[in-house]
Amino acid sequence: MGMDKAAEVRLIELAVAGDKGAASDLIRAHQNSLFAYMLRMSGNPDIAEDIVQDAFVRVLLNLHRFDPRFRFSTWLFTIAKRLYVNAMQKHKPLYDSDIVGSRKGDWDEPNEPTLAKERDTHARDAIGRALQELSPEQREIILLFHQQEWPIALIAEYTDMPEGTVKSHLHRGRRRMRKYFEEHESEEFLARFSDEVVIQ
Amino acid sequence: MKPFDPANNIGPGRDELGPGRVPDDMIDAILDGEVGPADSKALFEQLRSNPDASGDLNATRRAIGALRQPVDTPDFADRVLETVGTKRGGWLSGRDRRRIGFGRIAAAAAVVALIGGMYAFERARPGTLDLSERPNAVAGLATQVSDSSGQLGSQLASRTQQEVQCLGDSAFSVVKLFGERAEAERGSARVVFEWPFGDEGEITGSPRMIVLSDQPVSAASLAEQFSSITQQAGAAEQSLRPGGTLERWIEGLPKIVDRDLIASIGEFANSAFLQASNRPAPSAGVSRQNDLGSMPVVITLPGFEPLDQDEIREPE
Repeated sequence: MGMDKAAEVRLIELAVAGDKGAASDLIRAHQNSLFAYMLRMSGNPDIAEDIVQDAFVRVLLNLHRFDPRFRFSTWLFTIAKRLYVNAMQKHKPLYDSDIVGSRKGDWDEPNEPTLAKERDTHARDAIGRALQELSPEQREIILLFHQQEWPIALIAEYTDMPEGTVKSHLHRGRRRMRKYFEEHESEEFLARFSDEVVIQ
Repeated sequence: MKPFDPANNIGPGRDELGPGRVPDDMIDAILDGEVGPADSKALFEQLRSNPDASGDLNATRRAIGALRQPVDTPDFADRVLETVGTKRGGWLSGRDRRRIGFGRIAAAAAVVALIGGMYAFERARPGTLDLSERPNAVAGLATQVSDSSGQLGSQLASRTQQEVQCLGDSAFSVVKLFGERAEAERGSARVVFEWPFGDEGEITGSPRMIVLSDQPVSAASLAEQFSSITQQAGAAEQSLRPGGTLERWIEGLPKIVDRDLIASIGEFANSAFLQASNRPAPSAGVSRQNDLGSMPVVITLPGFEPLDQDEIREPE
């Protein structure tokens, strides 16, 4: 879950003092996880990009207020979540498929890289559609637990829910996702996502 | 939901599932990472003999695996730093930071030398430096704390305190000495104390608020910072109540603030003000009532410009 806490606190102190390099390192340490999370939450890369950029700007402008007793990532995600909620009030969720589908190719015969890209696009669409099947709470908790690898206790604190409720959303959300994939995607498609030992 | 108990074969609801069925609780326990190595062996044995359950587990794992697909992330650093730099007035390079650090040390050293010189001069010619007629003594109170990040500030504050104590009754004069206006310098650090005053203008306790700032400080921003700090730390809020102490307040400060430094400043200021309070009540230009219910006392670094009266203003 990111860099060593002491190193992160040191970066924050330097960034507060105006050190550009430290601020840059801080952004790069968290941008992948935050963007991936926001992309899956919003289903729209443009919205996710706007939210992530705005979140980092706000965090850096208020970095002197950060209390190092807490996790920086939790603070960053909390600010991003507020921005996400605001953004969702303005936009309807728009998944990657809508955007990708609107981009017309002009090739005659698809070559292998193109086919691979198509498969990736299909995978992104499928993940987006499966997440769309979930309630906002289930989606958020599934992503925090399985994509961000946050422990249940931290998710409970972040979402302000009892741990039992978090688990309940997690379990129900997982079952809905599984059901969606079973009903809508082939075994061959699903097999590419599993890197764990499959019990036969 | 009851946790899965592998020692009890399978989880709750087993009877309803029929023989050989594995409940969802078991799959959830595995996926939640709540099954230890000892239990997992038994569980996986059970799953091997149950194609439905193992199929469910595999399907769920694949769904989870899909979530972990890497995402092409754009680089946000440059554009974020540009936006933030525009709003906060630029960033410092490593060279700039070293230069500023050296400047602070030089300024602090000059102040210590000045205080020492004043002390020696006063000893040699008592009364020469009596500046008791100067107005706005409290507003001009100065200390030589200039480094908010390291031990230097703490050491200097301590040294100043010693100097003031040596001066005894003439301490107030020294305190007022730095009420002189000097040319302002960008980035000068200011220390602002929010001090409780009684009806007669007397100091009634330890400072309730201490702010290190390199910007002009308004009452509104003081209130905002104070509110922010008290929201973050219960101890700071506690110190506002009767019986609250400087120590408890410091304990509640965010760790980013150098607590030793603040403590040294507080001790020094306490000492100076307690001596000063035997004199007529301070009539500082900055003593306008603010929304905190009392007046801020501003300690300006020597060599830097004191706060203007209009910098302390009511929140809009």
